[in-house]
Amino acid sequence: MSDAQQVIDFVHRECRLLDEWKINDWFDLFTVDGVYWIPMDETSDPRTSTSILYDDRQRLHARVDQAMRRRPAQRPQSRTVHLVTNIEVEVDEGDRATARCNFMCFELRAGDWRQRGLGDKQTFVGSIRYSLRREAGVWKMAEKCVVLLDRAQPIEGLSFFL
Amino acid sequence: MHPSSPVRHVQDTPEEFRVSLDAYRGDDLFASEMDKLFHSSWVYVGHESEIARPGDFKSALIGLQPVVLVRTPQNEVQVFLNFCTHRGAALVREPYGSVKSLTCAYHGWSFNLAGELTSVPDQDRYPPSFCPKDRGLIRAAQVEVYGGFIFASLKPTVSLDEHLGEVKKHIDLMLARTAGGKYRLGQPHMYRYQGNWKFQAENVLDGYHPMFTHASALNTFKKLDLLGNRSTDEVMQGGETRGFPQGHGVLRSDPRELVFMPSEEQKPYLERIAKVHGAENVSKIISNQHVLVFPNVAFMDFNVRVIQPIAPGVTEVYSFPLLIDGESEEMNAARLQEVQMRLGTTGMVGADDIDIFARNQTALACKAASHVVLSRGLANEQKLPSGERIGEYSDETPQRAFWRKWSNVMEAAE
Repeated sequence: MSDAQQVIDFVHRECRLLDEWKINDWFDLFTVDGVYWIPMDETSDPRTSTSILYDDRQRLHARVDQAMRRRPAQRPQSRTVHLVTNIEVEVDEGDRATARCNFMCFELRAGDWRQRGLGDKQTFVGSIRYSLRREAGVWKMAEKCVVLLDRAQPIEGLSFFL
Repeated sequence: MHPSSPVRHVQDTPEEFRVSLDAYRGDDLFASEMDKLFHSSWVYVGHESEIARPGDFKSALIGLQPVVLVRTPQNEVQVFLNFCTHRGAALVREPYGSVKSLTCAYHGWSFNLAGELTSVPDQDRYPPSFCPKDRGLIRAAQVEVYGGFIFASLKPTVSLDEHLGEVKKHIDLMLARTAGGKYRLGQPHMYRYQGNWKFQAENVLDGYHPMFTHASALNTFKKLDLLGNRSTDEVMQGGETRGFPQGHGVLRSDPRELVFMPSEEQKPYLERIAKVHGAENVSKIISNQHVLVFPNVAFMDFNVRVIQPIAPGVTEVYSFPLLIDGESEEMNAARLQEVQMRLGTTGMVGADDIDIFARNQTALACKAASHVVLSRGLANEQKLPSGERIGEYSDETPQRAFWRKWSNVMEAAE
């Protein structure tokens, strides 16, 4: 299989793990210095500028650990469907690759659908930039950057993983 | 109580403190809140650093009314309605920017940064009595700054000093954390939730809920050793709450700020504070403190949170990181990242509060329940001659202060 096809498969699998709530398996897709970033301004320095979310390894570890516990914002849990399209892949130096795609994520918290905050089908739209590294023959995410269409305005109900 | 007034929303007796569910719901009540609480008295609109240079502007809301904050060439802060005095089109459409003048996109009327109408295209077609001097931008009635924080009132009211009262001491404590430097605000982290704005106003000073609402986050922080010296008692002991007659409140606990700072920076930072404010004051200055200034701005450790009502059941919150000019990039980055991880719609802590607000909003439909109860600590709080009250960390002292003020304004005899 070509490197480019491997990367495309990686993107599809990554989204599927999120939709299946296999968050520990998803966490394993990151390199040890991996970054999960949802910017307000994708051209800014996320260390010193505000983001919707910017997790280095330690913070992402905490977030994943919390996801395994019961918390009000995820009881009932979000159901998600990720769609990715317009994928462009660039592989360089053999063991590094970038992928860019557009995505839609539909999210719904089930439970008593008549209550506020439950039963609403929400749509998150934007593009995703992946920086990938191949380690011991396996592609890993050095960075997943999710650039939302409405990134510079208030965001509602994002207590799950995009 | 006014003899002809209906049953009041806030019932304050020595045994019980009740707030009716009607105080959180309904279009009429919301419109009345906007009018009486937001459009008639002091509202926080921004920080001086957001309009640092002459010509800089910021768009904001006072209640539901769009305003523009401008820094003039004379270095003054002006607050105008975002309203062209010709046909009323909004003059600016960006949240921030820099301009030489404010020119309307509709018919080209142009205003200088002091708000004067300086140019009317083809002015001769107006009647002879038309006077541009009378058509300047509409100003807030009062604009005052405390510690860099800009407040405005659309109607004449008491001085900002009188409005803030004793809560100034607690704002001063927050200002002292700059160790003689100045704050600047970063870009706000913003979220929206499906609930009334007062649920967030009550929540920022609620010391009773953390180990319940936030058990998952606290257990994770504990497991990963990110908790510092924070107590893990089910209901936290120690610390204090305060409520002020102007409706403001304070929630304060032991110092724990340092946990999140780069370890090599901690000692020099504390020494800088000690040098400026005295060693004996350091622990008070770095204590974990939340201050709510009535009705809708909270100063919380490293951030300023504006609680923006949008509709009776929809609220937006803008959380501005407080950075210190002159501090190291590492120190400011640590402050920003710590707030960002905890708060907001993606926050390990904040997202759970937001779910609680949706539960609160859902339950407003329970008309048969009629009221909620905020009596915790009512019989035991300390009352000062100034009207300030002091309770324990988990007491509802600040919420009661909020609602007493709310009632004074909303339920005053006409």
